[in-house]
Amino acid sequence: MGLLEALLNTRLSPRERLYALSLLAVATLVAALLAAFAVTFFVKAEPIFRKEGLGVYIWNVWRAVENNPEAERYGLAAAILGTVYVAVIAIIVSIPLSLALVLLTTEYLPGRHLQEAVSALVDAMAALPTIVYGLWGVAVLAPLLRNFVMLPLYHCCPWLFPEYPSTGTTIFTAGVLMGIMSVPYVAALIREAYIMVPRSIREAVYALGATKSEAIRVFLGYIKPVVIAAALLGFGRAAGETVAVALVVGDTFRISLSPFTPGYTIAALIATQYGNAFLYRYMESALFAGGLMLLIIGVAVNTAGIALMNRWISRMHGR
Amino acid sequence: MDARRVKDRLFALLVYIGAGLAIAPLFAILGSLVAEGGRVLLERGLAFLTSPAPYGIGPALYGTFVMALTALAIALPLGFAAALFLYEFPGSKISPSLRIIIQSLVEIPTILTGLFIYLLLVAPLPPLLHLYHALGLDRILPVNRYSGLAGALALALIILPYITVHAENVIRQVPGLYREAALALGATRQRAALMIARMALRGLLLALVLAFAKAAGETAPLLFTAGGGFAYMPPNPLYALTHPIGAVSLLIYDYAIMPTPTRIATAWGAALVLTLITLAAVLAARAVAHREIVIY
Repeated sequence: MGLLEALLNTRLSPRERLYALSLLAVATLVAALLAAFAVTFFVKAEPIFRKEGLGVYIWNVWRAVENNPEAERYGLAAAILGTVYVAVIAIIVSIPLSLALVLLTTEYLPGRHLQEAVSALVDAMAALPTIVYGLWGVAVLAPLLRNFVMLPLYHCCPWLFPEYPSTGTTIFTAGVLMGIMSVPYVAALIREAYIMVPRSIREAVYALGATKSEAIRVFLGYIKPVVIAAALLGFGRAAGETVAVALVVGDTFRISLSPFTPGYTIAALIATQYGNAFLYRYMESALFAGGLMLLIIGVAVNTAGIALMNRWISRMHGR
Repeated sequence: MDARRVKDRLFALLVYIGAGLAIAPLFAILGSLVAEGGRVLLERGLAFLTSPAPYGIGPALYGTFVMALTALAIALPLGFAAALFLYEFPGSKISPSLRIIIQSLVEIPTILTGLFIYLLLVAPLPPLLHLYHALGLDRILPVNRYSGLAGALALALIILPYITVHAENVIRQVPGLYREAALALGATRQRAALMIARMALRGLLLALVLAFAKAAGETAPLLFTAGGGFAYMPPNPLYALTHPIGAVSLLIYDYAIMPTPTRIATAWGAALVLTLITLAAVLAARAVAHREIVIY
């Protein structure tokens, strides 16, 4: 049993061994889950890699043919680009809104009670089920954005927005909805760093005679790495969201520069196509290749975001 | 000097507008829910909560509760144990990677979690299927079909990392002095852990409530695990766990873009009910949490 103690890097009395062993078993099980995830996805994606190679990530084609596997062709380009497009719009929407929310609660609202009230509202926003956002998005937000944003922009500057917005369910709508949904998450990340700005810096800036807005600009410069990290983590969230996006993105295989056209995201593609994928030889495999890509995007973006965040925090504590 | 003042005022105005825009959707959503969903609830009365689809959400509500509670029953012990592991053995070789893995599990898109359980239980990969067969598990588990159990497993996998993180934070809030005192008096680690868990009980209950709210609100992980079905009321929870069942969230997803007005109305009513469940849980937890901070 010396092995157990060495592994846990601690001393155990004989009566504690069973307890330690059972905790270790659970910890190992949880750790094994992630590995199992990657392995099963790769196993399922393998056939399409054999058939299409990495082209499955490059082509934009979705040809499902029953009883003739050789004629089936799948390429996820439209969904991958759509995922990135939606997540980028989401970030553009949510970063300024989140910054304003953080500044309002930390700098502008007088009194604890008002601050408490606003933070309760933000908690409520975070607690709303995503499907409720989706229902509201498709029933209220999509027509609203089409009539009051997309149509006016199309009529005023057709050279910039050449596509007529024939429907409200578009890449743009999905991006805006994801931006709204990620505000509580992004704001919480930024707020945590903002309240860590050292008192010495606050006092120094105000002692120089800065106005509030000038001081805030200095503080925001101070937490800039965290804002970037929050943008990355928000991007990851928006890229992985499924049902709300599936309802408002339009679900169309189309690559277009204009955000006012229906599109697809990887998650929405899986949600809408997986149900009938069993009818075809390769479709399920292609969807798992998409899932694998989503996993890779998510892990890469999140690892970068968390690393950035941790580096900033350790630098703060270092000082 | 004056220009700076004006700039300062303008900036403040921008902050108020931006924050207003950030929160406005909440009121817009709640407004739509009360207007559209409230009308449906008033029209159809309490029968809306018990009758089958397309006029009511009875079976869906039943499925949501069965799956969310089962998910809690699975994820709570595992999550608490993982949290205890991180608390008891911070110096172990596994702890740093376990932390990273738990963080990664939080960030995995929930639709992929659903697909993962699909491969484990609903349509197991061939080697797994052989394993189940060899162990006789395929006679107990609902293998090769959609089931409430598959949905509950997917939900459990999603709330597991949340429970772990939350439980570890709560345990850490108990001053370490108590643990050291207990150990110094000759208590075993498990005895000390039990004592600390009792002191942190309120916080741990909070983790439970928040995890339930999260599980009840999820949709994507249920798409290819629970299978749906909103018109037939399962006779008992065991039946629900071994057969395809619906959930309130799934019903909203299915009915949201249907061309029939009755179904869209049902979707709004269902959304109001689901929102009330999750908001009540989260706001109650918030109220409790504040007293918590006062105590420690």
